[in-house]
Amino acid sequence: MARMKFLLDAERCIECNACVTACKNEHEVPWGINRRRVVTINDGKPGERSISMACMHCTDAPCAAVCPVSCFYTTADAVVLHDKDLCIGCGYCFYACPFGAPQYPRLGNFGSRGKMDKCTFCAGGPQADNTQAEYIQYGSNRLAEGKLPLCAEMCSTKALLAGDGEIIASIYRERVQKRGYGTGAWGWRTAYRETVAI
Amino acid sequence: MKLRILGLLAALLIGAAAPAMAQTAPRAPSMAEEMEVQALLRGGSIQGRISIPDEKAATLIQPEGREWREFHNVTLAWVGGIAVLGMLAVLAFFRLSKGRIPIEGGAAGRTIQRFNVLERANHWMVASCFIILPVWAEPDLRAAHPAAGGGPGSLHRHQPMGQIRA
Repeated sequence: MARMKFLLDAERCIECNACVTACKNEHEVPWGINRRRVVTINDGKPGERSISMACMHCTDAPCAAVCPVSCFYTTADAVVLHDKDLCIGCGYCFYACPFGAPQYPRLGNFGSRGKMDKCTFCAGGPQADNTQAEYIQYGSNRLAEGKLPLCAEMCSTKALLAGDGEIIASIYRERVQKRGYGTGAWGWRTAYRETVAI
Repeated sequence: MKLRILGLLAALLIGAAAPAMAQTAPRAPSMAEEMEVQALLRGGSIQGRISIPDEKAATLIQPEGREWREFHNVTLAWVGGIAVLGMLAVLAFFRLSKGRIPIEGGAAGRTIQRFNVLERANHWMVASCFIILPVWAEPDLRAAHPAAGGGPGSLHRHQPMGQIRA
């Protein structure tokens, strides 16, 4: 099986937020909650770069390591998913996550945090694939339909790449070699303990 | 004239340097890599600007979680384990070294009431609820998630009382 990864080519990102919008619409993410976001660093200065960031589906995921009810699991495609029926909304995954991916869209009892919600790499959750139950809890399951995450599919400049880590790394490598420069794969060192060798 | 010559010289220099830079740049550590390593070393985070109202989301990468994970999964587990098992060991050591310590002169035979019937009934009702609730809720959780099974965390999954047999 493929090892699924996200790769953002910051040289191409134009901060159009199409990835954010596509994600929100595809999964009916509630108001005020973004599974994916675009952060601009060095804004207005030389070297300004925009980076689209969501759950990176880490190798040795910190969220899974600290979860007290072990609600996280890794699929055969190395996508990190979680079971919302087991999640108790303790927020430990949010403390541990280096990318700020876990969100808490709903309130629990007595004003506590509700179930955690995060990017699923468009791979749904533990419920049966493409059922209404899965859609309500986790959003659509495009991977089960043989499609890739919609954020990357919608990216007009193809700055955001999603798919088999080997393939997207080779696409990025080719781009860097052709144009002669690149700012690297954001978050790869933190998430996958490796960088794209050029 | 002088300025023009200087300008030409500068243009030549830049022109000569540019191809060399283009060749070496991809091999040098990239901006992303460098910023991640620096943030990790300083314990700081990579901050930016964001167009959504949630200002906290402007933090791109923050390494503090790594330390928290280490503390939670390693330090706390050891400290907690030692605190519980260590106390047991201390008590066992005390008992073994001092033996039983009886009341001087033996019990007087008089008793006083500490809790009345209502208080005792309340105590035992709560105690039995603590046992019944997890035992009762467990099959429901199992039925909903055969893959999840029981596990050590199952006792802590409190269900709102009205929903147990809903």
